[in-house]
Amino acid sequence: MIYALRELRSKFKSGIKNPLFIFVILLALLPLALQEPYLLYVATLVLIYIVIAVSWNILAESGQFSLGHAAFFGIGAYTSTLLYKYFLVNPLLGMPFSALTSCALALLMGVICLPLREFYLAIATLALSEVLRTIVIMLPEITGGAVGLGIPPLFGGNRVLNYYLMLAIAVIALSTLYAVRRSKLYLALVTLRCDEVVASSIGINPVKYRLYAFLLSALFPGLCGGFFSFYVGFIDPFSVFNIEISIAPQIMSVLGGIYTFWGPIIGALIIEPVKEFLRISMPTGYLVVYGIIMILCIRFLPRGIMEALKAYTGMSEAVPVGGRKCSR
Amino acid sequence: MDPSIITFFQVMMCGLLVGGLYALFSVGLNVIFGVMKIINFAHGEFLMLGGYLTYFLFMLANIDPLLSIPITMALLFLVGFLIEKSLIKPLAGGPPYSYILLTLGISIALQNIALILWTGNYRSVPVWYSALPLSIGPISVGLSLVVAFTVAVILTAILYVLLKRTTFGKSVRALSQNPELAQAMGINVSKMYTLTFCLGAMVAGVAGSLVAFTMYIFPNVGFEIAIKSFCIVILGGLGSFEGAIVGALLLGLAESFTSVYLPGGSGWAPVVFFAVLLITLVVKPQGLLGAKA
Repeated sequence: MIYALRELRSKFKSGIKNPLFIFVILLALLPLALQEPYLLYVATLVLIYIVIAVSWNILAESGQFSLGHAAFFGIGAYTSTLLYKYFLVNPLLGMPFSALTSCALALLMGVICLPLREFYLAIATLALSEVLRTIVIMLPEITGGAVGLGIPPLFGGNRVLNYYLMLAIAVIALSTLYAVRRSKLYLALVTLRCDEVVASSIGINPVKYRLYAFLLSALFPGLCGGFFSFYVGFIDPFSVFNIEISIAPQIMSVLGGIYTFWGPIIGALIIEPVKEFLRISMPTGYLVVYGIIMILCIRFLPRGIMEALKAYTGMSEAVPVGGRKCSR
Repeated sequence: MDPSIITFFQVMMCGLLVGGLYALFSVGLNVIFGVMKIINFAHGEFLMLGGYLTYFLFMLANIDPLLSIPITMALLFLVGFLIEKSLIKPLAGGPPYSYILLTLGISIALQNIALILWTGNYRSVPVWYSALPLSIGPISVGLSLVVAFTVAVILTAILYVLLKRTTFGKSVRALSQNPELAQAMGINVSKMYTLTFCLGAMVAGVAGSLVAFTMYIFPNVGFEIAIKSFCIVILGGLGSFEGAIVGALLLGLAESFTSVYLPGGSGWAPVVFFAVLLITLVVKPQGLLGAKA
């Protein structure tokens, strides 16, 4: 008993020193510093993008490059909205269903995309998200079509409460994916990316683990979508099935450091505020900065800020398979 | 003749004409893929630039879109050359995702630069033949579409001859099949990459000229057509010249038939085409005419 308590205490102590714990505490204190409602709105968006980017990255780590994460976000958003509209389901209860439908979509997408790699996969996921948007537009009797649907915002539109709800979602997402990165599942995914033949020869079932990656990657963006529609109190196909949502996690991951846990988070922390700032200062064509960041980043910092930090601090990269550095 | 049969042929005719435009654009994209093994996400922006170039040449210097094609080709060749030399070449040997992100970045940057410079307005070149109908028996189609289709077919044919009958084409095909062996045979791989990319950009620019007087141009026009074109080349088989043409005609037909025969009209067209694409991918991942990987 005492031993167990001691272990718990030491776990707690080491937990406090965990950068993720410190990061979450800082995020929790953020509303105290940001009195301006608009800034809090941006902070909430940043949290959403952190979750999407980290989720996207876990799929990328299994060697599957998605260009269709807007599909998960969008289907999540429409699930909670439509559940509320037709069955008056409380948004908080609807959000888990958002995650569920998103996972169902991921399973479908994953199965369709099983034989596809690289470019094929990227295009197929992009095509699927475009198809979903078209379907939503073409069924106006159910979804409100291109005009969209208005819904009462959650907590009466209270920004602080909404921020904390999103933070709770982010904490669940980040701690889950953080734990995944310390599990055998993660090693299996990385091995799959680096060399599929090696992976299957040591008993990693490529089909099974590919689908796991898809499910893990879709779960939280779907949840975020379910939250987002009730946060803004309005939903339309162009805003939630927006290709920008599919592209953003890639830029964030690459800028911060693709295939790392902190990379996508750093990327989201930098890119989303910059984008919001630019959107206000130059309403047309602000996305040009997205393009320029992507070009510069790939050209001069292909492994992102994390890699630069590691090189600077002298920390070496974990070598996943047989001591051979993975080139993918 | 029964009016429903006339409608059927009319719809088919329109589908094939538009499909011809898609084919020209997709063939360029596919040649780039075949040689360089990259999907060029910025390919649509070459079309957009070609379109705007044609538009401004017509508006400012009153040059007919058909006559300005050589100018468009020359300038787009230059654009392709600069992009390939400065951005794509230095990436050689990088991970696959880097090409996706780089070309996507170029695409987003060019789209938004166009948006800032030329606003989001829809523009079209008002040539004298743009509103004239052309009647073939009971079927009538727009003359401008027929003109554009003819140009597209001629250019596609030239490309075909270039790829299948010349030394340049032989090198291109050798590189697509086996880059190492091609290099061992004395083909300058780096030079070929640049040339292929420029060729693709040039062809996309001409497709833009054709779009400028048959449809509309706006900053996102290239990206919208490019998404269709990615699906076309994947449907037909990445790297396959004939596959791109078959895929393009299929998309043209799918769009035109759904817009007439489905309730709800052209809105369903992408769903129908993507459904065909996904089914094809599941049944035959390498595409209709693609070689086995």
